[in-house]
Amino acid sequence: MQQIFRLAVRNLGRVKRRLVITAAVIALGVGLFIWIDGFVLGTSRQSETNLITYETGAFRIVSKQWWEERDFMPLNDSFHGYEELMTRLKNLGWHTTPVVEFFADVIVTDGNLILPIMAVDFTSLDSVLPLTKHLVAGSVPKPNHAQAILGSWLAKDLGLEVGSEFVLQTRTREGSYQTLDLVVSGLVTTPHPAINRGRILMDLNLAKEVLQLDHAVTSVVAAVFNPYAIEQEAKRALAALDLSPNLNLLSWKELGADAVASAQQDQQQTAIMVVLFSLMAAVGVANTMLMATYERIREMGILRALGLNSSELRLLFLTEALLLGFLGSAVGLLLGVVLNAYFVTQGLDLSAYVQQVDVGYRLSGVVYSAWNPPAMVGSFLGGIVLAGVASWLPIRRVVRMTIVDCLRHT
Amino acid sequence: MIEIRDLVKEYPTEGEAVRALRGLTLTIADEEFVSIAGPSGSGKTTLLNLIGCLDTATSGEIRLNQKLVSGMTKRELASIRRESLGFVFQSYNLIPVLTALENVALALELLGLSHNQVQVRARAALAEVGLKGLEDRLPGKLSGGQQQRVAIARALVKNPAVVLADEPTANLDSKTGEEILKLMRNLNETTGTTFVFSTHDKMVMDYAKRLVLLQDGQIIHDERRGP
Repeated sequence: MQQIFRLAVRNLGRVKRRLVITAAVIALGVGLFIWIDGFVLGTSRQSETNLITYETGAFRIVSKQWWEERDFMPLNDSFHGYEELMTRLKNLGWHTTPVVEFFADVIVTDGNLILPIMAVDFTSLDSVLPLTKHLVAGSVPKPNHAQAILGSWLAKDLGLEVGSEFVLQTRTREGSYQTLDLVVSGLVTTPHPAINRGRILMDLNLAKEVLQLDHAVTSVVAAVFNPYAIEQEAKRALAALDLSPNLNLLSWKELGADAVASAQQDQQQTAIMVVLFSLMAAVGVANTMLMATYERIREMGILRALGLNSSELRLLFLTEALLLGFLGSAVGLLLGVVLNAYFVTQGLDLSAYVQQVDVGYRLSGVVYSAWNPPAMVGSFLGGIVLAGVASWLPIRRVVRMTIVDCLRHT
Repeated sequence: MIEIRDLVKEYPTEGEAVRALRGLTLTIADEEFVSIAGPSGSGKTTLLNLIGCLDTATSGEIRLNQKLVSGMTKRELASIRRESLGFVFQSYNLIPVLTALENVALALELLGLSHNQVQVRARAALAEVGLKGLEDRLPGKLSGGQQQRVAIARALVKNPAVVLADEPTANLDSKTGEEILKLMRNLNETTGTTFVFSTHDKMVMDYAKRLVLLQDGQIIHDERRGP
């Protein structure tokens, strides 16, 4: 056994061309897998963080009817008594903010566009959804002033800037038309593209007044309490609140179901791509191993003539293949770590791309890779196993040949 | 001692099986220097392959030092090849990526000897066949005669009972061929190793101490010659 291992180690270094080609194929496969996997994981995590931080919060309390009709954001399904809910949640340790969301026709000089409007309490907003922390121009609207903050990309699309005026036309809770003149007080550029692309924030009290909402809101949003156990915390809150039957506590996963599904779909597509890529690498490795084995048929004949039996021969070539796989995987691991380290620290600037196209991910600006140690270990071991499996069939075939046929092989 | 009785070897083909050996019986004593001669297709190489446990007979018996080889498992046959037999092939069959020394050492490494023992014995074997100073050359950098000497050193280094040489001079010019034959005969006399080699070359036959002529898979002449 020790003899075979020593022979295998020596054989490995004898034909450097074969060693380099085969190890390079394995290294490329392992390295690219680690990099792609890290990038997909990084974008996925970043997208999830942005979704929770800037869009959904940890959870929201909404009326059941409003949730069922959420695509229309109906104001008549808003609910009262939110102050008491907020107090109870505060006592449980949660930061919350009330929100009114509705659709409005946004009229500017060049035309109009129907957009979702978010009326918020700017005094408590940032402790839950830190949107105004990303002001890139102007300031937060003053209380009860007809002012608004716009996503910077939206403002650019509409030709608006700080100080510009625009008109909102919508219906009140009772269904009558209402028009409101607003002035752009500030612009935000957040890590969440949908905010930048289509969000208008205005003062909650002003919205309640003009929309005849009295003291109703469409949702109460809760901030992340424990980022590692959001689901459990939401369940704990639900149990403690004893909500009235017409209200629902929805976790960020339910609120951002489209984003979660989109991200999952993208991850599946990426996984398919990675599997296809791995298969291509596997075929490459199998091919080089096949060639490497077949060009050594005569050598196998000589070894058998010198007294190596079939099991020892299989073991020798398998050991060589596994050592080759180890070498390729080690180089691949290094390659993957170096590639991934660059994208973990420097990231990839997608801002130009995501401004033009909605990719489903809640990402804008620079996207960073993440480290995924189990996948790294898996791909490292996978490279070794792949080399072993790829060499096994040709070795088995050669071992079945007679020694005389092996020796005659040219 | 090699004892062969009623040895038959058939090669299956699409039509009728080809009979390479037809009930051959032969005994070769220890320390003999035997030439198996005959025209192409007479069964020389087949006989050597069977004696060398590289192939299995269709029927008949082969005994090597009283051990019945026929019917042995592949593992047992490998063990016999490893410990008791040395081979010299027409086309040398050296491993091209190994140096002369490594090619010879390989036969000893398979016996599980220590690195030092392997190095000492392999160097001595190469010196014995006149290749001192060429230990680190790859086969591609050696002449045909030198490569065949490496092959002889590889066959002899493990002190086998029998060395089987299939047309050992066929790829060499007559002068080099003669040198190889002299070397083999000298080694036979000094080490006492039995040499069995096949040939269809008259000059080679003249060097043999015993000449066995084959035709159509049967012995047609068996002659012992003087020293």
